[in-house]
Amino acid sequence: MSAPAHLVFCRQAVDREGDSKQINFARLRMARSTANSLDSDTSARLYVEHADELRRFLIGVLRDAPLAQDCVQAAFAKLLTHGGGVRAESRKAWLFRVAYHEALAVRRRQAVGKRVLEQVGKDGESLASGIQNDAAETLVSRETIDGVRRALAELPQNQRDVVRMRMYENKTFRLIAAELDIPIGTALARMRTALKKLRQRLESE
Amino acid sequence: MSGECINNEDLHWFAVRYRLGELSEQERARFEWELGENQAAREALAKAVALEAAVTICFQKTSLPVRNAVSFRWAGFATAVAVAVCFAMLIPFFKFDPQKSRQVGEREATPRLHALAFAWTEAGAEMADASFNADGLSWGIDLHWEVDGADSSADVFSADAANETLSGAAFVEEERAGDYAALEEAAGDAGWMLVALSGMQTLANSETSGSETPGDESP
Repeated sequence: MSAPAHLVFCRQAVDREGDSKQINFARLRMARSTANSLDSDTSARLYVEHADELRRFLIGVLRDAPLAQDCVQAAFAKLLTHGGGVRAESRKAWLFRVAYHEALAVRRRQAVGKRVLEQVGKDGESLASGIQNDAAETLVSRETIDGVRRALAELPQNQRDVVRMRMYENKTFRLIAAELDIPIGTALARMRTALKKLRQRLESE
Repeated sequence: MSGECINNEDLHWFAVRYRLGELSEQERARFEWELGENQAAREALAKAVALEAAVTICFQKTSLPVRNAVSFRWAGFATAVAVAVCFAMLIPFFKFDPQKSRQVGEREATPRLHALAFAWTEAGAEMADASFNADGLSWGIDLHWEVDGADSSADVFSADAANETLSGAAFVEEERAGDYAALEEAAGDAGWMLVALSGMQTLANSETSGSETPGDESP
Protein backbone atom coordinates (compact mmCIF):
# COMPACT_ATOMS: atom_id res chain seq x y z
CA MET A 1 0.00 0.00 0.00
CA SER A 2 1.48 3.32 -1.02
CA ALA A 3 1.04 6.49 0.91
CA PRO A 4 0.82 10.02 -0.44
CA ALA A 5 4.11 11.83 -0.73
CA HIS A 6 2.97 14.50 1.73
CA LEU A 7 0.64 14.02 4.59
CA VAL A 8 -0.80 16.89 6.58
CA PHE A 9 -2.38 16.43 9.98
CA CYS A 10 -4.45 19.05 11.62
CA ARG A 11 -6.42 17.93 14.61
CA GLN A 12 -8.44 19.51 17.34
CA ALA A 13 -7.71 18.05 20.75
CA VAL A 14 -8.54 18.94 24.29
CA ASP A 15 -5.76 19.41 26.74
CA ARG A 16 -6.11 18.78 30.41
CA GLU A 17 -7.33 22.29 31.11
CA GLY A 18 -10.18 21.80 28.74
CA ASP A 19 -9.07 24.41 26.22
CA SER A 20 -8.98 23.39 22.65
CA LYS A 21 -5.56 23.13 21.18
CA GLN A 22 -4.77 23.12 17.55
CA ILE A 23 -2.35 20.42 16.71
CA ASN A 24 -0.53 20.97 13.52
CA PHE A 25 1.81 18.30 12.45
CA ALA A 26 2.81 20.36 9.41
CA ARG A 27 3.84 18.39 6.34
CA LEU A 28 5.23 14.92 6.73
CA ARG A 29 6.93 13.25 3.84
CA MET A 30 6.14 9.54 3.68
CA ALA A 31 7.85 7.41 1.13
CA ARG A 32 5.61 4.48 1.95
CA SER A 33 3.45 3.31 4.79
CA THR A 34 4.90 0.66 7.03
CA ALA A 35 3.55 -1.79 9.49
CA ASN A 36 5.12 0.34 12.20
CA SER A 37 3.03 3.40 11.49
CA LEU A 38 1.00 4.72 14.37
CA ASP A 39 -2.52 5.92 13.77
CA SER A 40 -3.05 9.66 13.84
CA ASP A 41 -5.58 9.61 16.67
CA THR A 42 -3.12 7.94 19.02
CA SER A 43 -0.37 10.27 17.88
CA ALA A 44 -2.56 13.29 18.57
CA ARG A 45 -3.39 12.04 22.05
CA LEU A 46 0.27 11.42 22.82
CA TYR A 47 1.08 14.91 21.54
CA VAL A 48 -1.40 16.50 23.93
CA GLU A 49 -0.10 14.46 26.84
CA HIS A 50 3.62 14.77 26.37
CA ALA A 51 4.54 17.61 23.99
CA ASP A 52 4.95 20.27 26.71
CA GLU A 53 7.08 18.10 28.96
CA LEU A 54 9.11 16.95 25.96
CA ARG A 55 9.71 20.53 24.92
CA ARG A 56 10.92 21.45 28.43
CA PHE A 57 13.29 18.49 28.38
CA LEU A 58 14.70 19.49 25.00
CA ILE A 59 15.16 23.09 26.13
CA GLY A 60 17.22 21.70 28.98
CA VAL A 61 19.41 19.86 26.47
CA LEU A 62 19.59 22.43 23.67
CA ARG A 63 19.06 25.75 25.57
CA ASP A 64 17.19 27.00 22.54
CA ALA A 65 13.39 27.10 22.42
CA PRO A 66 12.93 27.14 18.61
CA LEU A 67 15.37 24.26 18.13
CA ALA A 68 13.62 22.38 20.91
CA GLN A 69 10.28 22.80 19.15
CA ASP A 70 11.79 21.53 15.90
CA CYS A 71 13.02 18.45 17.70
CA VAL A 72 9.57 17.90 19.20
CA GLN A 73 8.08 17.92 15.72
CA ALA A 74 10.77 15.57 14.43
CA ALA A 75 10.17 13.17 17.31
CA PHE A 76 6.44 13.03 16.69
CA ALA A 77 7.04 12.59 12.99
CA LYS A 78 9.09 9.51 13.78
CA LEU A 79 6.39 8.35 16.17
CA LEU A 80 3.92 8.49 13.32
CA THR A 81 6.11 6.48 11.00
CA HIS A 82 7.70 4.07 13.42
CA GLY A 83 5.74 4.21 16.67
CA GLY A 84 3.30 1.46 15.80
CA GLY A 85 5.70 -1.23 16.93
CA VAL A 86 6.26 0.31 20.38
CA ARG A 87 4.30 -0.94 23.35
CA ALA A 88 1.80 1.57 24.64
CA GLU A 89 3.36 1.79 28.12
CA SER A 90 6.76 2.47 26.61
CA ARG A 91 5.78 5.09 24.09
CA LYS A 92 6.55 8.04 26.34
CA ALA A 93 10.05 6.79 27.10
CA TRP A 94 10.54 5.91 23.41
CA LEU A 95 9.45 9.40 22.42
CA PHE A 96 11.84 11.05 24.87
CA ARG A 97 14.72 8.87 23.78
CA VAL A 98 14.13 9.62 20.13
CA ALA A 99 13.86 13.33 20.90
CA TYR A 100 17.09 13.21 22.90
CA HIS A 101 19.02 11.62 20.05
CA GLU A 102 17.51 14.16 17.69
CA ALA A 103 18.73 16.94 20.02
CA LEU A 104 22.23 15.46 20.15
CA ALA A 105 22.29 15.41 16.35
CA VAL A 106 21.26 19.07 16.32
CA ARG A 107 24.02 19.90 18.78
CA ARG A 108 26.59 18.15 16.65
CA ARG A 109 25.44 20.07 13.60
CA GLN A 110 25.61 23.30 15.60
CA ALA A 111 29.14 22.51 16.69
CA VAL A 112 30.17 21.87 13.09
CA GLY A 113 28.53 25.08 11.98
CA LYS A 114 30.24 27.02 14.73
CA ARG A 115 33.63 25.66 13.69
CA VAL A 116 32.94 26.62 10.09
CA LEU A 117 32.01 30.15 11.11
CA GLU A 118 35.12 30.46 13.21
CA GLN A 119 37.23 29.35 10.29
CA VAL A 120 35.81 32.01 8.02
CA GLY A 121 36.32 34.61 10.68
CA LYS A 122 32.72 35.32 11.57
CA ASP A 123 31.20 35.53 15.02
CA GLY A 124 30.76 31.96 16.18
CA GLU A 125 28.72 32.61 19.28
CA SER A 126 25.91 30.25 19.82
CA LEU A 127 22.43 31.45 19.20
CA ALA A 128 21.23 29.60 22.25
CA SER A 129 20.72 31.71 25.30
CA GLY A 130 18.55 29.59 27.48
CA ILE A 131 15.14 30.63 28.55
CA GLN A 132 14.30 34.16 27.56
CA ASN A 133 12.08 35.99 29.97
CA ASP A 134 9.27 36.29 27.50
CA ALA A 135 9.43 32.56 26.68
CA ALA A 136 9.45 31.43 30.31
CA GLU A 137 5.74 31.96 30.66
CA THR A 138 5.05 29.50 27.85
CA LEU A 139 6.78 26.68 29.70
CA VAL A 140 4.72 26.56 32.86
CA SER A 141 1.12 26.91 33.77
CA ARG A 142 -0.34 29.64 35.95
CA GLU A 143 -1.00 27.10 38.67
CA THR A 144 2.65 26.07 38.72
CA ILE A 145 3.77 29.69 38.98
CA ASP A 146 1.38 30.33 41.86
CA GLY A 147 2.56 27.19 43.63
CA VAL A 148 6.21 28.15 43.25
CA ARG A 149 5.46 31.64 44.51
CA ARG A 150 3.86 30.25 47.66
CA ALA A 151 6.70 27.80 48.13
CA LEU A 152 9.30 30.55 47.72
CA ALA A 153 7.56 32.62 50.36
CA GLU A 154 7.83 29.73 52.79
CA LEU A 155 11.57 29.30 52.30
CA PRO A 156 14.00 30.70 54.86
CA GLN A 157 15.47 34.01 53.73
CA ASN A 158 18.99 32.62 53.30
CA GLN A 159 17.76 29.85 51.00
CA ARG A 160 15.53 32.21 49.05
CA ASP A 161 18.47 34.58 48.52
CA VAL A 162 20.61 31.81 47.04
CA VAL A 163 17.79 30.67 44.73
CA ARG A 164 17.21 34.20 43.56
CA MET A 165 20.87 34.97 43.01
CA ARG A 166 21.47 31.76 41.07
CA MET A 167 18.30 31.33 39.03
CA TYR A 168 17.13 34.89 38.54
CA GLU A 169 20.30 36.94 38.69
CA ASN A 170 22.33 34.13 37.06
CA LYS A 171 25.34 34.46 39.35
CA THR A 172 27.70 31.54 39.77
CA PHE A 173 27.83 29.72 43.09
CA ARG A 174 31.36 30.99 43.56
CA LEU A 175 30.19 34.60 43.24
CA ILE A 176 27.18 33.96 45.49
CA ALA A 177 29.43 32.50 48.16
CA ALA A 178 31.70 35.54 47.93
CA GLU A 179 28.85 38.04 48.18
CA LEU A 180 27.15 36.29 51.06
CA ASP A 181 30.47 35.58 52.74
CA ILE A 182 29.77 31.87 53.07
CA PRO A 183 31.65 28.79 51.89
CA ILE A 184 30.73 27.62 48.41
CA GLY A 185 29.59 24.29 49.87
CA THR A 186 27.11 26.15 52.07
CA ALA A 187 25.75 27.98 49.07
CA LEU A 188 25.30 24.70 47.19
CA ALA A 189 23.67 23.07 50.21
CA ARG A 190 21.18 25.93 50.64
CA MET A 191 20.33 25.77 46.95
CA ARG A 192 19.83 22.01 47.02
CA THR A 193 17.64 22.14 50.13
CA ALA A 194 15.55 24.96 48.69
CA LEU A 195 15.03 23.18 45.38
CA LYS A 196 14.04 19.99 47.14
CA LYS A 197 11.39 21.88 49.11
CA LEU A 198 10.15 23.61 45.97
CA ARG A 199 9.93 20.35 44.04
CA GLN A 200 8.17 18.52 46.84
CA ARG A 201 5.70 21.37 47.20
CA LEU A 202 4.95 21.29 43.48
CA GLU A 203 4.52 17.53 43.41
CA SER A 204 2.13 17.64 46.34
CA GLU A 205 -0.16 20.19 44.68
CA MET B 1 30.06 5.31 30.24
CA SER B 2 29.65 4.49 33.91
CA GLY B 3 27.05 1.81 34.64
CA GLU B 4 26.42 3.16 38.08
CA CYS B 5 23.15 5.03 37.92
CA ILE B 6 22.59 8.24 39.80
CA ASN B 7 20.02 7.71 42.52
CA ASN B 8 16.67 9.33 42.12
CA GLU B 9 17.26 12.12 44.66
CA ASP B 10 20.55 13.06 43.11
CA LEU B 11 19.00 12.96 39.67
CA HIS B 12 17.02 16.14 40.35
CA TRP B 13 20.07 17.92 41.75
CA PHE B 14 22.11 16.79 38.78
CA ALA B 15 19.34 17.95 36.45
CA VAL B 16 19.25 21.44 37.96
CA ARG B 17 23.01 21.78 37.86
CA TYR B 18 23.09 20.45 34.31
CA ARG B 19 20.50 23.03 33.36
CA LEU B 20 22.49 25.78 35.07
CA GLY B 21 25.76 24.61 33.51
CA GLU B 22 27.30 23.89 36.90
CA LEU B 23 28.44 20.29 36.23
CA SER B 24 32.06 19.38 35.66
CA GLU B 25 32.95 17.72 32.37
CA GLN B 26 32.89 14.29 33.95
CA GLU B 27 29.59 14.90 35.73
CA ARG B 28 28.09 16.27 32.53
CA ALA B 29 29.08 13.21 30.52
CA ARG B 30 27.69 10.96 33.24
CA PHE B 31 24.38 12.78 33.33
CA GLU B 32 24.05 12.81 29.54
CA TRP B 33 24.55 9.07 29.56
CA GLU B 34 21.72 8.91 32.08
CA LEU B 35 19.58 11.01 29.77
CA GLY B 36 20.06 8.46 27.02
CA GLU B 37 19.22 5.47 29.23
CA ASN B 38 16.98 6.61 32.03
CA GLN B 39 13.52 8.10 31.57
CA ALA B 40 13.60 9.35 35.17
CA ALA B 41 16.65 11.47 34.33
CA ARG B 42 14.89 12.94 31.31
CA GLU B 43 11.81 13.77 33.32
CA ALA B 44 13.97 15.26 36.06
CA LEU B 45 15.54 17.58 33.49
CA ALA B 46 12.09 18.61 32.24
CA LYS B 47 11.06 19.41 35.83
CA ALA B 48 14.24 21.40 36.37
CA VAL B 49 13.47 23.52 33.31
CA ALA B 50 9.90 24.10 34.51
CA LEU B 51 11.07 25.03 38.00
CA GLU B 52 13.63 27.47 36.67
CA ALA B 53 11.02 29.10 34.45
CA ALA B 54 8.55 29.44 37.32
CA VAL B 55 11.17 30.84 39.71
CA THR B 56 12.29 33.35 37.07
CA ILE B 57 8.74 34.54 36.55
CA CYS B 58 8.10 34.83 40.30
CA PHE B 59 11.17 36.94 40.96
CA GLN B 60 10.64 38.94 37.79
CA LYS B 61 7.12 39.98 38.66
CA THR B 62 7.37 40.53 42.37
CA SER B 63 10.68 42.26 42.96
CA LEU B 64 12.22 45.63 42.24
CA PRO B 65 15.92 46.32 42.76
CA VAL B 66 16.33 48.50 45.81
CA ARG B 67 18.44 51.00 43.90
CA ASN B 68 15.74 51.60 41.33
CA ALA B 69 13.08 51.99 43.98
CA VAL B 70 15.08 54.68 45.80
CA SER B 71 15.78 56.52 42.56
CA PHE B 72 12.17 56.44 41.66
CA ARG B 73 11.15 58.00 44.98
CA TRP B 74 13.73 60.77 44.67
CA ALA B 75 12.75 61.40 41.07
CA GLY B 76 9.11 61.68 42.06
CA PHE B 77 9.95 64.02 44.93
CA ALA B 78 12.15 66.20 42.73
CA THR B 79 9.46 66.38 40.09
CA ALA B 80 6.85 67.39 42.64
CA VAL B 81 9.12 70.12 44.02
CA ALA B 82 9.89 71.43 40.53
CA VAL B 83 6.19 71.61 39.67
CA ALA B 84 5.44 73.38 42.94
CA VAL B 85 8.20 75.93 42.33
CA CYS B 86 7.00 76.61 38.81
CA PHE B 87 3.47 77.04 40.05
CA ALA B 88 4.64 79.36 42.80
CA MET B 89 6.54 81.44 40.27
CA LEU B 90 3.46 81.77 38.11
CA ILE B 91 1.09 82.76 40.92
CA PRO B 92 2.17 86.44 41.06
CA PHE B 93 1.39 86.83 37.40
CA PHE B 94 -2.13 85.65 37.92
CA LYS B 95 -2.72 88.16 40.63
CA PHE B 96 -4.16 91.31 39.23
CA ASP B 97 -3.71 94.42 41.24
CA PRO B 98 -5.62 97.29 39.68
CA GLN B 99 -3.88 99.77 41.93
CA LYS B 100 -0.46 98.60 40.85
CA SER B 101 -1.44 98.56 37.20
CA ARG B 102 -2.66 102.10 37.47
CA GLN B 103 0.61 103.12 39.04
CA VAL B 104 2.56 101.50 36.24
CA GLY B 105 0.50 103.40 33.74
CA GLU B 106 0.95 106.67 35.52
CA ARG B 107 4.71 106.37 35.56
CA GLU B 108 4.89 106.39 31.80
CA ALA B 109 5.39 109.69 30.13
CA THR B 110 3.17 109.24 27.10
CA PRO B 111 -0.51 110.09 27.36
CA ARG B 112 -1.40 107.16 25.14
CA LEU B 113 0.12 104.69 27.54
CA HIS B 114 -1.67 106.37 30.41
CA ALA B 115 -4.93 105.94 28.58
CA LEU B 116 -4.17 102.35 27.89
CA ALA B 117 -3.47 101.59 31.52
CA PHE B 118 -6.70 103.30 32.49
CA ALA B 119 -8.64 101.26 29.99
CA TRP B 120 -6.93 98.13 31.17
CA THR B 121 -7.79 98.56 34.80
CA GLU B 122 -11.32 99.54 34.00
CA ALA B 123 -11.89 96.56 31.74
CA GLY B 124 -11.22 93.78 34.29
CA ALA B 125 -8.72 91.49 35.92
CA GLU B 126 -8.39 88.55 33.43
CA MET B 127 -4.89 88.62 32.04
CA ALA B 128 -4.45 85.00 31.06
CA ASP B 129 -4.37 85.28 27.33
CA ALA B 130 -2.88 88.53 26.29
CA SER B 131 0.59 89.77 25.76
CA PHE B 132 2.06 93.13 24.95
CA ASN B 133 4.73 93.51 22.44
CA ALA B 134 7.57 95.55 23.92
CA ASP B 135 8.11 97.63 20.84
CA GLY B 136 4.62 98.95 21.22
CA LEU B 137 3.67 98.37 17.64
CA SER B 138 1.27 95.59 18.06
CA TRP B 139 -0.86 93.62 20.40
CA GLY B 140 -0.96 89.90 20.18
CA ILE B 141 -3.52 87.52 21.56
CA ASP B 142 -1.49 84.68 22.99
CA LEU B 143 -2.61 81.60 24.84
CA HIS B 144 0.48 81.64 27.08
CA TRP B 145 0.91 84.37 29.63
CA GLU B 146 4.28 86.00 29.14
CA VAL B 147 6.13 87.27 32.17
CA ASP B 148 7.29 90.42 30.50
CA GLY B 149 3.86 91.35 29.29
CA ALA B 150 2.58 92.90 32.51
CA ASP B 151 5.38 95.34 33.04
CA SER B 152 6.48 95.99 29.55
CA SER B 153 6.06 99.49 28.38
CA ALA B 154 6.06 101.05 25.01
CA ASP B 155 6.82 104.47 23.74
CA VAL B 156 4.34 104.28 20.95
CA PHE B 157 1.07 102.52 20.73
CA SER B 158 -0.76 102.29 17.52
CA ALA B 159 -4.39 101.32 17.48
CA ASP B 160 -4.21 100.70 13.78
CA ALA B 161 -1.34 98.33 14.24
CA ALA B 162 -3.36 96.60 16.91
CA ASN B 163 -6.25 96.16 14.56
CA GLU B 164 -4.02 94.54 12.01
CA THR B 165 -2.45 92.21 14.52
CA LEU B 166 -5.52 91.00 16.30
CA SER B 167 -6.95 88.15 14.39
CA GLY B 168 -10.55 87.37 13.75
CA ALA B 169 -13.01 88.95 11.42
CA ALA B 170 -15.45 89.21 14.31
CA PHE B 171 -13.24 91.73 16.04
CA VAL B 172 -13.02 93.93 12.99
CA GLU B 173 -16.72 93.75 12.36
CA GLU B 174 -17.71 94.36 15.95
CA GLU B 175 -15.25 97.18 16.44
CA ARG B 176 -16.71 98.97 13.45
CA ALA B 177 -20.14 98.53 14.97
CA GLY B 178 -18.76 100.08 18.19
CA ASP B 179 -20.75 97.79 20.46
CA TYR B 180 -18.96 96.90 23.69
CA ALA B 181 -21.20 93.97 24.47
CA ALA B 182 -20.92 92.58 20.98
CA LEU B 183 -17.15 92.89 21.14
CA GLU B 184 -16.99 90.85 24.30
CA GLU B 185 -19.33 88.23 23.02
CA ALA B 186 -17.52 87.84 19.73
CA ALA B 187 -14.02 87.61 21.16
CA GLY B 188 -14.87 85.37 24.08
CA ASP B 189 -12.05 85.14 26.59
CA ALA B 190 -10.10 87.95 25.02
CA GLY B 191 -13.12 90.18 25.10
CA TRP B 192 -11.91 92.31 27.95
CA MET B 193 -8.79 93.24 26.01
CA LEU B 194 -10.77 94.07 22.93
CA VAL B 195 -13.09 96.17 25.03
CA ALA B 196 -10.06 97.98 26.44
CA LEU B 197 -8.65 98.56 23.00
CA SER B 198 -11.95 99.79 21.74
CA GLY B 199 -12.17 102.09 24.70
CA MET B 200 -8.72 103.36 24.01
CA GLN B 201 -9.58 103.99 20.40
CA THR B 202 -12.57 105.95 21.62
CA LEU B 203 -10.34 108.00 23.89
CA ALA B 204 -7.95 108.61 21.02
CA ASN B 205 -10.81 109.76 18.84
CA SER B 206 -12.07 112.03 21.56
CA GLU B 207 -8.66 113.64 21.87
CA THR B 208 -8.53 114.48 18.22
CA SER B 209 -12.14 115.53 17.89
CA GLY B 210 -12.49 117.26 21.24
CA SER B 211 -15.34 115.04 22.33
CA GLU B 212 -15.31 113.87 25.93
CA THR B 213 -17.94 111.31 25.69
CA PRO B 214 -16.66 107.79 25.53
CA GLY B 215 -18.72 105.45 23.56
CA ASP B 216 -19.32 107.62 20.56
CA GLU B 217 -17.58 105.21 18.31
CA SER B 218 -17.81 105.76 14.65
CA PRO B 219 -18.21 102.70 12.47
